[in-house]
Amino acid sequence: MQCTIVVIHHNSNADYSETTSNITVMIKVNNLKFSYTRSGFPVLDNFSIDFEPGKIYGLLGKNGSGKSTLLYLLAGLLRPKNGSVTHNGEPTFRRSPAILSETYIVPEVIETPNRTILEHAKELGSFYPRFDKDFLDFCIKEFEIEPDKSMTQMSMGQRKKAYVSLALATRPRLLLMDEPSNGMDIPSKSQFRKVIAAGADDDSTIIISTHQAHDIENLIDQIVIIDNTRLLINVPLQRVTDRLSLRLQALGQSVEGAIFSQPVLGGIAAIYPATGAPDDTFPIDLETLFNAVLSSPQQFSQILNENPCNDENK
Amino acid sequence: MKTNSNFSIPRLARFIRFDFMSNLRSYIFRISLIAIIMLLCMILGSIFISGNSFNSGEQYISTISSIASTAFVITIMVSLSLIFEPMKTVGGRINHLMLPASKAEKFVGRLLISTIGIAVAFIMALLVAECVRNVTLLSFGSKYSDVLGFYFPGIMANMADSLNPAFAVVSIHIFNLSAFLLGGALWYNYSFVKTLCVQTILGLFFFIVAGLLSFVVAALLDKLATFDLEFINALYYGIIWAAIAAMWIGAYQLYRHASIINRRFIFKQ
Repeated sequence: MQCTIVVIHHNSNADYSETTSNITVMIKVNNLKFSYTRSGFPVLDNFSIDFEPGKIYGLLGKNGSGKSTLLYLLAGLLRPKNGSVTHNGEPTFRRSPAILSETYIVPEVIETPNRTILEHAKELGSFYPRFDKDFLDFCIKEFEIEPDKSMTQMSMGQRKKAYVSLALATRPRLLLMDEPSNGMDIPSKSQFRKVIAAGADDDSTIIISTHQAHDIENLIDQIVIIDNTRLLINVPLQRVTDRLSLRLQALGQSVEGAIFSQPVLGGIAAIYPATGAPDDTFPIDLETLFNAVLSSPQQFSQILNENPCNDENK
Repeated sequence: MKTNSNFSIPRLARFIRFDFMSNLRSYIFRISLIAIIMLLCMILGSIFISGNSFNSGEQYISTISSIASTAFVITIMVSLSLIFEPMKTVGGRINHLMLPASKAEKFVGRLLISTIGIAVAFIMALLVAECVRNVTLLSFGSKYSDVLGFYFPGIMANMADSLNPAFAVVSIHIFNLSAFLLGGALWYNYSFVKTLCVQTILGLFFFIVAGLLSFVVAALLDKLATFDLEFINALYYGIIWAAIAAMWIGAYQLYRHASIINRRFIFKQ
């Protein structure tokens, strides 16, 4: 049995305003509304968010909450019904060569040509000004990809790794990944975290949408949770660490004062406002945080967001 | 590398090369299929023509060039209906739409591949088939010696004649091919069949309407007969070419507004 205990200290003196000031916002989503059919229920509604350079975002949400849809809108593969999605001020749906050469999306279901990764990279690289052949070689070595094998003859996991390698080698300023670790074995997931960390830099934005929260826990800087057409939280992980405390308690023990609790193997996991006690520090458990935010979105939004959402329907 | 212009010739060339190399095996397979079909026609034609005419060579050229002309037109029609074949699947649409080239470059690139590219490949397939035909006939000994010879130049000359460079015929050909271009932009799957069905249905519809309104049609024809022939010609070609322009603009607009969602019918998502 493995229990994950996360205890995050609250620091009432922390000033988070500096995290958003003086930073150039790269991707702006403004009052976005999108639905897949003309009269259908919107997948995203009155949705606004800014994505800043130099950060790795973890995008979490239930099935059908609009994570993939949001990524496609950011890539310019879908057109908003209302509102706007802009990349450096330009609407993404225009898909101009300038924006496309700085954007790469790794979708959940990938399609690869019947060529080797090096053959494909030779042609693909000519479209991306920042294409880095050395980094591609690094990824091929890390992922243990066979460079002489046609990508269509690889297993799903191997093809995914090849696709991720090509994506990272283009050195995009905006990298979107939809369930990138799906199909990867356990060693590959560790390799994946390594290459993503190596590929991230100060002027790139990486957004990873996943259900496998454990795969990205130690990778991301900022967590974004969406549900029911809306943005629930968009906060640095450090803030979660500073403001919340998670304790594992025995069954029957009182959870008075807890903001959220859920049964886990061996007891109850409960979230409290952080007390600042030094022996409460543990690695962040994104899964429990996710369940907590979904159960009380208004409450956690007020605790975690700088500007809490005023959605009275939640 | 300039990334900001809407239409760049070097980037168009890069796109054509990328598309060609990414789908090379598929293109080779299709051209090989055309070559094999033409080879079968050529060998069978040679066998049936041999010994039945005093000028077997010219009869062979005439027969094969007719078959090749028809096959060529059908090949271009099918090729245009497959103009956006890379967009058949979700993964394919993502790869194609996200490639850093402008929408105009990708449209023109695919158009050039589907027309000039396939035409050149067809001619090369015909050439290879003609060479293989001769080698095959040689293996039969002297039995078919009267149809032995490199008739490729004659076939090409006859094909050029039969495809008729007259403006009227060219207009109709381009009108027909434009319909398949529009169909290819509208439907990513089974485009050729769907376009053919729509053409047939529309043709029947107008035929029936014309029949039902025969008195209107007769009056219109009487009225037109009073006009100058040049005016009637100009009107006819004006309507044809306006329709061609509308189909091309429609195809480009459909492509420009394409997204990851496959169209259920006509309109965007």
